[in-house]
Amino acid sequence: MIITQLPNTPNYIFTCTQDTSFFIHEVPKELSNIIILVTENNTCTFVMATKQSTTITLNVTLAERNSHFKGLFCFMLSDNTQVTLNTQQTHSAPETTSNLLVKSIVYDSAKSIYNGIITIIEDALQADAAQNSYALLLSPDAQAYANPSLEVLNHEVQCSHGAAVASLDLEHLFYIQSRGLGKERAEHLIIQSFFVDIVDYPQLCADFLGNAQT
Amino acid sequence: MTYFKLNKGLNRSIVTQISEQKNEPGWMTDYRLNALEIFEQKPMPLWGADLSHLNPYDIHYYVKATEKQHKSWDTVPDEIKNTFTKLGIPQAEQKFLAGVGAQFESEVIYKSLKKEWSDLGVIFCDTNNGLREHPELFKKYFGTIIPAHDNKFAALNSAVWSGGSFVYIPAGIEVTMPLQAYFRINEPKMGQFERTLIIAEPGSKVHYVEGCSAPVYSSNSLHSAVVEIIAHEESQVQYTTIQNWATNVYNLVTKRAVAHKDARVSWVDGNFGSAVTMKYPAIILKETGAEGKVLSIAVAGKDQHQDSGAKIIHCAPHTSSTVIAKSISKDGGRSSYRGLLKVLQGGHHSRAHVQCDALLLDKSSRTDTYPTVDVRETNVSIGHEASVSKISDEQLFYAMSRGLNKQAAQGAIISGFIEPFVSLLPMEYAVEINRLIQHEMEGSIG
Repeated sequence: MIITQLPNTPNYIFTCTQDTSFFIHEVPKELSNIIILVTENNTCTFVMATKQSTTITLNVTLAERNSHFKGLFCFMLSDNTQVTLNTQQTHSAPETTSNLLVKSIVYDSAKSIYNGIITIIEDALQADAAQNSYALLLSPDAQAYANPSLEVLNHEVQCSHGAAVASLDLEHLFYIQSRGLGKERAEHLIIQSFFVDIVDYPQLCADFLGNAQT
Repeated sequence: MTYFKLNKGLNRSIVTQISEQKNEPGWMTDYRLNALEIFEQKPMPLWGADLSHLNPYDIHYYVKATEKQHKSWDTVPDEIKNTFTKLGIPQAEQKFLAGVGAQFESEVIYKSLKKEWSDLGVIFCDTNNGLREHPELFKKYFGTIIPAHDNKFAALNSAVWSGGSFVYIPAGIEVTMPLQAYFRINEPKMGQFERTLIIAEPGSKVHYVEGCSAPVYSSNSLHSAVVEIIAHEESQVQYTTIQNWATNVYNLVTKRAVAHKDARVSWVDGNFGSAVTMKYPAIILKETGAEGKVLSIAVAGKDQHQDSGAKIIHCAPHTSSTVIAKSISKDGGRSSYRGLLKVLQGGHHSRAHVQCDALLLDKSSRTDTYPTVDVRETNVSIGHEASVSKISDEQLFYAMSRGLNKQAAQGAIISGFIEPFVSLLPMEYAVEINRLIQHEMEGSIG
């Protein structure tokens, strides 16, 4: 099943009883809480790519054995936009996996705020959880805030997280320019490559990357 | 053994008595009373570890040994003797550590500043003596890095502090031997509130080592120290703490350093024992080129919560920082990393790397990571990574196939896990730490 639109209500609760993919490029104004429950042997994929200001909480519970979650959030923020993303990945059953990736490019005086928690409870043996956030800051006034947390209550798990904040790598820029491309074109390429993960989702890719700002 | 001991509890009269007992100048008495008011106004922190069983009004705030102790070695609990033997501490030092040799309580009497250093102008003394003998220097820096209103327990320390070290290294002087201080709690329900102030003038270099161990007592003890470090231009300061508190001690510590231009500050922090530890060594990289490093290891056993971390603030361009935090949780213990990495506007071209590795040894233990990364400047390179793992069967199998038994194999893997930390310690501490870890792990893995 594929879902491309979310309802314009404060809370959205969804139970994954079959493999489900969300491809979202616009967050409804009213919506602030998304709660997803994944049941046995099912996989939920949640991809969001947006350039708008939003404050959103995603709460995913891997409720039954062999349930999986894959999440990708891409934000391209300019002017005064501000994105606040809170995520909670809860592993409450054995042999569950989750992988969440957050990527933001921040221009002007925009701001990206990310709070993520992975919780693995005592009974969720052999859980495999990952959470990574990357931000690229392209102006001195741009801000990125990341707080990726882990709470691990048993030892039969794989759990990792990472966060990185950087600006355009001048060496990369130099390399591309030395191949004869202009600066703007080179920057554009680097930004496109930063969002390489979204290429797997052609439904969102064209719209999001098509007119990337440089 | 006789003590000079004030009544339990905390009020203006107790604070005034402490100040009088130490013959302090009026400004310090006022400072203490002011801090007491701040302490009373501030609520108990609701974040971090559970402090609900801690009653700060049920503690002796000042205890001072008034004569040499006559306790005999035979009265030292076997458990503690056993630990000492396993750590390989020499007999004479064992007696000292167990509190039957040269004995002290809140006052630090162990001081071994070599004459050659004092000739160079290095000051290394008890903080109370520092106030008495170097009043101007003291007043200039005291409370400038951690003011009384910083947090509830910094306020408490500011009100009732006693003991700790006062270190001053003149410009261009390198102290090659580590300065060491031993602190100990040997009295039931007695709090320890050391106040340490380290001032490193431009171009100087110092390594300060503090080791702690405490015998087991049943009533809750509170340890709340404040450590301030001022590292001037191009100075290098390393502060090493090895803590092995009794499992009923609340260890709530505020540590902060300011690094000026091209200065280097390192906190090396080993947290063993205690019921609850909340400790987040901080470094403010104030001027260009400053460098900060925090290396810590925490071992949380049964009923223990080690909530530790690091706080780095990049205020200036071309500053760099590294945080490596390792933790081991076992027997239902909980260890948490709680950190902050902040780059303020103006901190461009700064670099920071945070790495947290957690080892979970059994099903009932817990580990948490709460890192916070806040970047307000472009042209920076900031990374954070964390991993949680157990001792893998494959690693065990490999080591055992080379002829080690299971326990030795696990010990070797754990030693490898903490090696980046241990390699930074002075030799004798490295040896002790390795033995302490082996001792802590005995019979607990499987």
